[in-house]
Amino acid sequence: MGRYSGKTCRLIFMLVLTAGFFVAELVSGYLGNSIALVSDSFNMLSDLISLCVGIATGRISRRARRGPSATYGYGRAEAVGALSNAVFLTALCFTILVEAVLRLARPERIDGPELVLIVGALGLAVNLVGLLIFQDWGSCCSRLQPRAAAAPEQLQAVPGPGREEAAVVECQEAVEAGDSLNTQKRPEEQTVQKKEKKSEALNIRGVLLHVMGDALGSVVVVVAAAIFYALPLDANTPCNWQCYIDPSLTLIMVVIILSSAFPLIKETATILLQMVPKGVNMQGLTERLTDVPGVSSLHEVHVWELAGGKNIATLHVKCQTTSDYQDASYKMREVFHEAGIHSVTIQPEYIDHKTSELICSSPCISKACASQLCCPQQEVALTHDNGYLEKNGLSLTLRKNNSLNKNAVEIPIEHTLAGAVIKNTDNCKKSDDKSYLHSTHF
Amino acid sequence: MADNGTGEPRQPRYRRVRLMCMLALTFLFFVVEVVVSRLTASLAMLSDSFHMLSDVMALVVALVAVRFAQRTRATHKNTFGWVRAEVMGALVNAVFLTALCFTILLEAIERFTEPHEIQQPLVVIGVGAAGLLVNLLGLCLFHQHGGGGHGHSHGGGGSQHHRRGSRPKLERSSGDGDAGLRKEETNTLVENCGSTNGVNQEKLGDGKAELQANGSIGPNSLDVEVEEDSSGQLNMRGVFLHVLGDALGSVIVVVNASVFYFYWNPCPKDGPCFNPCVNSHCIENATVAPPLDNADLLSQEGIHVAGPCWVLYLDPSLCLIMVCILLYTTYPLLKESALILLQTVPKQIDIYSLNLKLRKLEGVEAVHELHVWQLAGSRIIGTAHIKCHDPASYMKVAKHIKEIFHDEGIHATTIQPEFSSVGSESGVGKCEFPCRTQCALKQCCGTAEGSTEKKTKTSSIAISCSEIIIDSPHHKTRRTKSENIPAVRLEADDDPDTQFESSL
Repeated sequence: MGRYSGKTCRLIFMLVLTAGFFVAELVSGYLGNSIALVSDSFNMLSDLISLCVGIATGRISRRARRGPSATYGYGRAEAVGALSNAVFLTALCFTILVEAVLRLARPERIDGPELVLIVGALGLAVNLVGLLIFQDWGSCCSRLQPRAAAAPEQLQAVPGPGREEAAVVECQEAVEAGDSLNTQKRPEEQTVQKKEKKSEALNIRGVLLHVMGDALGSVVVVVAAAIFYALPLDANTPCNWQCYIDPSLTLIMVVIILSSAFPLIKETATILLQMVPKGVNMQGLTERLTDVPGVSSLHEVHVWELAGGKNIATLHVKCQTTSDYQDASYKMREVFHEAGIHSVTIQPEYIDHKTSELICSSPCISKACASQLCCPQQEVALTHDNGYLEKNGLSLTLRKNNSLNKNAVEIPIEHTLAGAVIKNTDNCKKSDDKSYLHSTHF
Repeated sequence: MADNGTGEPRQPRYRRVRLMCMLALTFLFFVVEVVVSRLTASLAMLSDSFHMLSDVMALVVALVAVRFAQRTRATHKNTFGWVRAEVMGALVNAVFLTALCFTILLEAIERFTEPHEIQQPLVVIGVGAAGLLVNLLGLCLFHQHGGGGHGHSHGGGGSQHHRRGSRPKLERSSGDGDAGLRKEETNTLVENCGSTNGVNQEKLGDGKAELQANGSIGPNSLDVEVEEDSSGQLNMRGVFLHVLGDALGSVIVVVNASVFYFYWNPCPKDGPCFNPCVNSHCIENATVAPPLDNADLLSQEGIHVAGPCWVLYLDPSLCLIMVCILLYTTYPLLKESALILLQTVPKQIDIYSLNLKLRKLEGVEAVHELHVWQLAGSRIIGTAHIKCHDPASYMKVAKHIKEIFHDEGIHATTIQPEFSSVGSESGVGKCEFPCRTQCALKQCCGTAEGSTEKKTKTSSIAISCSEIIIDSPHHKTRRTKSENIPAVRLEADDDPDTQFESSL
């Protein structure tokens, strides 16, 4: 509280500017009796709303920490805010599209092009200022970096000491665990910064999209008004090609805006749908995990991104003994660490020969909850009861490998097994349950 | 499971069928309205037809979400399956609806300043009534989703998965318990639409078929139905709200056009006429300029006065009321889906008491990194790190831990045991298996504040329970081992200076 990062300051500045211009446009529209001005001022209003959403979610995600209502904090608020902004923009584009189509059906001329030209130019100026402000932000300092020596070097465009101070303050705030031994991990940190920039940039990108859309709208207004100003149309002559400029340019603008909104929606969807983060290769990761000695099998492997490059993984591991687990868990964490996943929760299960290797030894306490598990256990049961193909394939492979390598260590078996099983089950329900990819009997 | 041999699960299929029906109907009506507007050259009709188009878009979003969410299997791209798609579809629809309300608001405000007359009110009434019919049909189709739970039964079937009796008391969970089977549908348009306290019996006709069909389904698809039910609820609520908004819009169109038709005295096509409602500086068809505010004088002189003016203001006012209603009903949906997407703790779970219960268990020394979040619908996921003294005591406690989670309704849990070293008091409370310090930023909860964790600059690593770890306050960890674990020791000796920090 009480600290203002460069980011919030900019957003607030832009908010004030846009609000002021909105009021000015509204008043002048009513005074000058120009509906075009009034409707353009409402574009500013939508800008305002998106700015408010951006500021609010930025505040929420940075201020509210873990608590009883959100154990992960509210870091995701920015992704949700970005999605809301993008969807809001898409809806507005839809209505603008509708209006443009109506205008194409019934072209109208612009009355009083001078006033429209002036106010349109002013609006364009405001939007360009906004774009510049946020554009600069995108390449500006990465706030979240370790406090130690790395800070000044890794700041990229650094205009002005004020921002640097703010950045350092942010850094100090965010990195409470200082670590002076950075030297060997520098590249990691840079990826850390980039990822965090990327996700905070998600929030800013949502706002940026709106500003850009508004700027394009102002460009269209200016161009159309300029044409009407340069080639004035009498009130009596029917609408010629000039009247079609505005709607057609608007259509092009809508296409441009939508094409830049969809990537943002896709990126936020990756986070919000709990998808595997982009830099993580699940197959390679699980293979490396099963390579770890002591690991008999894995299942329920989940990797997802909380927000801002923070990846979280959970998995269940079947081991023979406790010491196996102890050693294996440390190594598994290293594997995860190299993959960029730093919050890992590993549940050990010990093999008892009553239950199969593949099924989780400790799901919820009764089978009735099976449907409420995140990934229902009956999938595994399916492969054993119903899926003859998989079952036969699986057990055939298992047995085959066992007979060949009775005394061998698990690792090579798992490799070939994984390969063989993947082939067998690929045509069926994909590799949903990792367990039968990486399990062996001994 | 979509590719199960027994056929698609009923619930999502019926949902899809409904969505597609409504989609086809709405699109057809949109086309009809466009054609009629061209024939009658009515701009208002054309703009109203685009409201139908927005409905179509909402339905498409919902359909895509339902399609996605059927794939509950983990894949390489998404280890949780795609069940969250419906929650996201609900959020998208809610935001979309809010944006539409915003634009309607703007149009209404513009109409206040510049009232329009309706051209050809009869045609508008006709088409508006037809649109209202289509929307009412849609409301009936999606009615259950807007009001309460969806009906399906799970009688019969010999599988163990049919037993729902042990399901915990979740207000939000999908249909559970045989007690909930006969719950009535509530016709609430407002909040808590998604709370499916029970499984409702569907309306007649449709319901009967479903009951029978459900009886013959295999266990797995039934499970999937029930799960998807409550997360699909959110999605369907979004659609329902869109259709509701459209229905209200049609009502307004019809009411407005009828009032206009019956009360409005239009300007005749010929002859002088004065329209006091429209703020124009000229008088239509007039050659003289009578005083503008004297309507009686005008009519005495034979100049027709159009009016009454309040008729023209009816449209925007009704629109404002409609916007208020829509926003009021959309806000709960927006909030609910946003809370799920934010990974918040579901409302019915009290983390503090859960934490307390866990810590009270015998053998549990500390609990940290307790996370509970809702994937979608009734699938709640929890993770925790439980610190015990040694593996044996953990094994005793493990089942109780799972029971505690189960009682809260959290069935997918990942419990990580950590074993405190002998005699290391300060070790209690710190996570024993942290990532390295540099990752502190990238850990999910990298900067600690929870009451059960303490942030320190040093930490200890317990590699195996047989190790004895000595805590030291300054960047040093020394390990002595009572067992010989060569591989681990090698690693430990390699990095004597490396710090490890608690992953808080």
